[in-house]
Order: sequence, then structure tokens, then C-alpha cells
Amino acid sequence: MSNSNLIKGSLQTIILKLLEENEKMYGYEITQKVKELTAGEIKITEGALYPALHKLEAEGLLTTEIQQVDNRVRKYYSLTKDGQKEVSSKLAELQAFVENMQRIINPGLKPELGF
Amino acid sequence: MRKLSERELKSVQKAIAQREITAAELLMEVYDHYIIHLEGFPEEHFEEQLNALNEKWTYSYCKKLQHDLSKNINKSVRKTQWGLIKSYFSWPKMVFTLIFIGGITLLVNLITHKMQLMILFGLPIVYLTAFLVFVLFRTHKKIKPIKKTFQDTELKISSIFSNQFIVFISLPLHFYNFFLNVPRIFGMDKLIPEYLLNYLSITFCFIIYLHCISAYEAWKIKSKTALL
Repeated sequence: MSNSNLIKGSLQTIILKLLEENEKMYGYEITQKVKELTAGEIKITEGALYPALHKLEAEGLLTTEIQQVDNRVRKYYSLTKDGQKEVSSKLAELQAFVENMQRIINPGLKPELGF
Repeated sequence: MRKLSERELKSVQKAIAQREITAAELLMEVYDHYIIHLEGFPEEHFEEQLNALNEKWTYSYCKKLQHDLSKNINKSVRKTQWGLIKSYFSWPKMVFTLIFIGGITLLVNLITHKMQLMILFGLPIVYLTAFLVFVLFRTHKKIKPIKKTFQDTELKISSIFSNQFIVFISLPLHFYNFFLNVPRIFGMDKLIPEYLLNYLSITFCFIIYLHCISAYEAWKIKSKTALL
């Protein structure tokens, strides 16, 4: 299934949620974590991930930390205070969207989703 | 997970150098991404996986990423400095701002125009120049490991954060030339009455000092995480 368009709109929420749970992560680690959590169903491409990370950093929702790892430098991302506040509102937004989609797809079904 | 051999590391560096990424912030991220990915595969799959990565990180994609990163960093520096400037107009910093304006108003009315230029504009310009040199030195130190990794390539590596910040720091130098030297060239300085010149001095001086203080505070915030 080509789900890249569906993921695109929720990518920032995915990143924020993962960083809320994992304190700090680097780009490649985020792609692998998403792959692992969704059993390979969702693959975040580099083409989408890094611009999203850089945008969130510029908006002040993420902060970075540079660490020396095996003769190279690694850039870790973590949530700022504003980012921590943003997670719950982004999740509520996504939850409402998914519930509405459920209503459209299955009009008889009353979804009770929880994040 | 295995460790890549020297030959493999050189191949990775060469492949990334072909993408002509010059921003240290992006270069370290792309390099790390390549290495972690390749370390997850056995030696016999190295070339195949390197090609797969090269297909994802195309030249045009890297250029766009670098351009967007530059825009985002610019936005971030502007946002930080503007936030700091705004804070000088809110309580309790407002007290400092008012005392400062009062102080320079008093000073401007007491000293000659030549002294005004020396004290009110000369000092901040000297400070900003020294600050500029300091930022350049710090950046050089911070990006040294990245430059060392890619020393065999012809990449001219620099920090976008530092470049953007230097533009901000040097802003009053252009400002100084435009408002004080350009009117002199056209002989317009004599047209401005003395009292107006004093008010202009107070305004420009206030802006330059505010810029000096906020630039330093912005640097203090950003240098904790950026290559600055």
C-alpha cells in the first residue's frame, strides 16, 4: 500500500510522540522505531523525515544535542518545553481526525480510540 | 552491527562529497545516517546498500534539504533575537530600557557630535567586531571534527548557523554606513539640523545597543546546541 500521502500529514505528530516517549533520538533511529512499531507497514523516508525535523527545530518544538560517537558526530533531537505542550494538542487533533475518518468509512461504528 | 573498514568509510565520504553538501549541520547528519545504515549489513552487501542510499540522497534532494535548512535556521535565529528584543519592552526589563534611553539622551545633549560618534557608535562597533571574531573562532573549533572527517574531499564546509548569525551581528555595520556615511557623501549631513541629529543619534544608538545585547543573548541560547 502506498501510504506516504497519509503519513505525510501525521509525520510531525509521529515525531513528537516518539520523542515524548524516548527522551532523545537521532534521525535514523526514528525511521527504525516507526518501522519496528508498525511491523514494517509504515516506512518513513529520509526525504520526509529530515525536513520535518529541521522545521520542528526551527519552530522551537525540538532542540538538538551533538554527541561524539565512534569518530563521528551524531545529532540527537529532543522535545523543548513548547514541544512537550504541543504533543498533547497534536495527538488530540490526530485522534479527532481518525475518529471522523472512522465515521465516514463505517457510519454505523462508534469509534473509541485512545492514544 | 559491524564496524565499517577504512576503505568503506572513504567510499561513504566520497559518495557524500559528490552531493556537495557544505553545511556542517547537514553533513554530520547525512554521514551518520549512511554509517548506521551500512553497519547493519554484511560486507558483501556494502556496495549494493551504498548505491541504495545514494539513490535516496540524490544531489537535488541534498541541495533542497540544505536550502530549506538554511531558511529554517535563519527563521530560528530571527525568532530568538526578536523574542529577546521584545522582552526589553516588557516588565521588568522595561525599567532598564527606560533608564538606558534616559542615559543616552542626557549624554547626547552633553557631548559634541564627534564624541557621540566615538562613544555611542564606535564602542558597539568595536564590541560587535570582537564578538564576530569570537564566534568565527568558536565555530571553527566546533566544526573541526567534521572538517577532519571530510579532509580528503574538496568540500568547503561551514556552519549555516554561524553564517546566519554573522549576518545578524554585522547588520549594524551596514546600518552605520547607510545612515551616517551615505548622507555625508551626498553632502546631506549639513542639511540635518543639530537637534534632529541628536534625536537620530539617540534612536540609532539605542537600536545598536539593543542589537548588541540581544545578539549576545541569542548566541548564549543557540550556542548550547548549534555549531556556533
